[in-house]
Amino acid sequence: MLKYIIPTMMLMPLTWLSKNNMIWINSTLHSLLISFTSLLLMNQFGDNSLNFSLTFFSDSLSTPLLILTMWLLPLMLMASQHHLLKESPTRKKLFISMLVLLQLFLIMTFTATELIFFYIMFEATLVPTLIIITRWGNQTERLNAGLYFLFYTLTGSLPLLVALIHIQNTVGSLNFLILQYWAQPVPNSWSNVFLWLACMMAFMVKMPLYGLHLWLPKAHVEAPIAGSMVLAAILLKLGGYGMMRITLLLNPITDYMAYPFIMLSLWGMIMTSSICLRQTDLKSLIAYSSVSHMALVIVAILIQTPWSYMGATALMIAHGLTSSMLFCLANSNYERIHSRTMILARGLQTLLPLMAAWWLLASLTNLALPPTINLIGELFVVMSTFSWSNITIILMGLNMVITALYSLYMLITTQRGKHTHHINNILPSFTRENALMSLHMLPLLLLSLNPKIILGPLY
Amino acid sequence: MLRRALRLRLGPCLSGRGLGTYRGGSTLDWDGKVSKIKKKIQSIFPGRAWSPLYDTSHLPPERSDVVIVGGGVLGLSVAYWLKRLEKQQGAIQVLVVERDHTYARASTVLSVGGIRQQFSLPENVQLSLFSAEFLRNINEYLAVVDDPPLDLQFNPSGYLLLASEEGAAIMERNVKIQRQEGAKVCLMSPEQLQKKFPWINTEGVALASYGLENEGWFDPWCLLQGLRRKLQSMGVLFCQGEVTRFISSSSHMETASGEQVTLKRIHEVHVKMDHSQEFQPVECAIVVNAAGAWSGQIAELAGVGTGPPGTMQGTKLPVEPRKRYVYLWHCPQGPGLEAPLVADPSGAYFRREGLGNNYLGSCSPTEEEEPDPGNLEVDYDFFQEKVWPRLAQRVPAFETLKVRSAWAGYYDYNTFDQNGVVGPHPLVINMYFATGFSGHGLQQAPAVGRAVAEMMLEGHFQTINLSPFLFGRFYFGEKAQEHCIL
Repeated sequence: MLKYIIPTMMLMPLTWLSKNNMIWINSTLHSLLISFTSLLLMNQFGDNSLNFSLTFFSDSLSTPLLILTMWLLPLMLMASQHHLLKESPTRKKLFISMLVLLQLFLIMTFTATELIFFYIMFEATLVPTLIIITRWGNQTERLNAGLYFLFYTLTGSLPLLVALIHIQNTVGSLNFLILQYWAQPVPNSWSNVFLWLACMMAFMVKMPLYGLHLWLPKAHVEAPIAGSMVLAAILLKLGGYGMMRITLLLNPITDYMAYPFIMLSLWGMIMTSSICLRQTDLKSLIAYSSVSHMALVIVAILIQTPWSYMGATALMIAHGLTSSMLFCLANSNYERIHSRTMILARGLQTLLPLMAAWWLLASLTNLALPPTINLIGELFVVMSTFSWSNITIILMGLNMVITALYSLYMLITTQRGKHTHHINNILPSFTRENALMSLHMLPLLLLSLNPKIILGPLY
Repeated sequence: MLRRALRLRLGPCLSGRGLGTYRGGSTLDWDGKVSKIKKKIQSIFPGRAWSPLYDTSHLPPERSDVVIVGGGVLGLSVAYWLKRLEKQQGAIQVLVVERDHTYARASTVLSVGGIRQQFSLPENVQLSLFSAEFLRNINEYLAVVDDPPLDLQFNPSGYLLLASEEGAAIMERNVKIQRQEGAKVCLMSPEQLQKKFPWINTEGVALASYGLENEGWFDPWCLLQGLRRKLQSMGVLFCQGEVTRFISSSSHMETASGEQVTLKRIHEVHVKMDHSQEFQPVECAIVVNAAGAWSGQIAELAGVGTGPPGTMQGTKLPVEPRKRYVYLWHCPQGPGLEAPLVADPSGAYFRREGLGNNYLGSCSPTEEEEPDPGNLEVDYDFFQEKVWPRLAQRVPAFETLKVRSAWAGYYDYNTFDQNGVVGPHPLVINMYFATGFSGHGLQQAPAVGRAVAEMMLEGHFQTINLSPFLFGRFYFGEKAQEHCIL
């Protein structure tokens, strides 16, 4: 694992010691090289995991997430170049260091063996994200957004610390590899109910669950583009990953403890999809669509069947790439027009046809068009929830329809129609932007050729 | 809450003095400090504006979709129609920047307040017709929950334009155009005029046109306040400040015919606060120039007219402030309640003001006698020499009048063709104009606001086609001349 951690850590001296005109080139290039080495993680052993040491391990659940994390860093750096143009070199280097620090903490979170270590890194990811949102966000509301983000996540995860220490005291070890085999059934009692809630709430807030999702539209909208990308693509998946790990220890009370949360997620996914239809702010629409997709993942993880786990993992990877790409597209709009309102920038297809192609691809993957991995994820989840309870198919079907509706609404409002006079002179798409979009799209499309690598440990 | 409970319980005992206060107040000012701390804590709660470093509530927001420069009736009208025509509520953030919230020098409130349909261009007639309908139904358009209805004090007394021999043919042609658009105007011969308005001296009058419907005068201040109230309820932000700078970026592009143009786009508006050096850069997508008499300065800030003369870049916005006086006099023997707004062929005009035998009126000065627009001082000699003789000649009763007061206001005078400029600038592509109406801006404001909002949201005029009023005509030399100017 050190072969990823040390190069990532060394990206920081790289940026600080680079010449001013080489900051972006050095950091982007080297982070891209590191992301290529992450593909080595794919070499998994049979049913077991790839154990690097007593502290780090990776199995087929964390591998795709790790590769996504490391793939996203060069993309984030490419996307941030424009809005940081006017800043001083020190500020730019500080921004890149925050991103690298976040990357470091994320790598360590996804590969942590010891659950306390996982918790520490989980909380540590909050700090660079908060700094990125509040320092480099665009509007005064970003302070409010940072506050919501920080306190929601902290309040949710403090009970997790207590629960983990309790488990350490009772079971004897929090090393995940050992815990898999030592986990004892958790009988029904009030203290175990609270134990379950304590373990799960942190991840519910992070996912986010429908009732606890208030921080997400604020944080996503106010964050700068790199912040939005990492929030949508990775930080939400931390919740899913944590839930998948911790539910191993919480049987059999999960069977009935999960009911309220499944209901909430099923209802929430339709609610948030419907809100997307009424959004006027582009970033806000994409943020709510993230909540909707993650609600599917929550349902899948809580019903705990092999198919649903496969669907959840696939959906997490697919949504990570799609949401990040949609945020990049929205940002390319914002940089030209300085407004996030959808109706002020219409008819872009006539002016920027290649960008319209990326918009089309991103919207199509967002609405889970076959044969993309988005569809595979959603389909597995729909099938497993149908076998869990037949009625859920109505809700899932309704959600898929509404998802298609708002994705196409977003596409048609921004791309089709007559363009307004005040966008006559927008700059044509930069190569950097086209490269960014293609680097998002390429893994997405290639994975539909071989989706088994992202289907997780239960494949 | 504890205080209130205590007060209720000990009510009869205490002599009405609040708990915690005592005669003379405290030098430590506990109450003030406590309320400040409470306010600070409350601002940290989610949902409130929190700025940990210093109070920025007087500054405009850091970004806004549309920034409207100028808070007069035209600017507020554009804001109103933008919020009304947006497809979803709350879609567009609008900021209105007004330099002077007392409106001490704004043309809107210093105007005579008349509305007429008797114009020579069909577009002007259509604009005034819609505006009259807007003003009639103002309490449906500008209704705010729990607020009292507006009383515009609309006096539908009509306009009476008099024409001499030379102007009679033009007047007939204009009336034909007005009737085609739907205005109700009647033509009167001097005999009919004498019979209807016996106080007029019809010497030198060959023809008169009298507006029968939708013409008269109203209270512009009431319209302004009604618009402000409605806009505040619709979520438009108001800010007091002066626009000092536009940050823009240019890009070189080629037209379809191969010639090079430089298109400019405004990214930020710097709004400077009163009496301080503090300014706030407001990031915006669209800027609306509704600055009235000072639109020319705002246009220059945006780079309109900086270029070699004779090119589109070098075409300035030909709007400049022109001072016009309005005099208020008292004349008990005057025309009375039935008097419309009478406009003499010599240029003098007057109308009844209120019910106490007061009248107000003036005369547009000729090009040579244009007063200096540097200040709003009134020149009473102008009245003595130019206005009174003409008034007295037309209405003999006005020989014995007594001037009560006077004021001066600016026309946002379009030196090119005395008609408004609407729509986007061809080169500074996100600046829209709504200015230059040279004295008939107030009466056309509702319709112009709608037209500009349609242009911004749809990209073309939908209800009234104002293409003759676009900016391009200054470069191409196509005058949309308005002949009936008061």
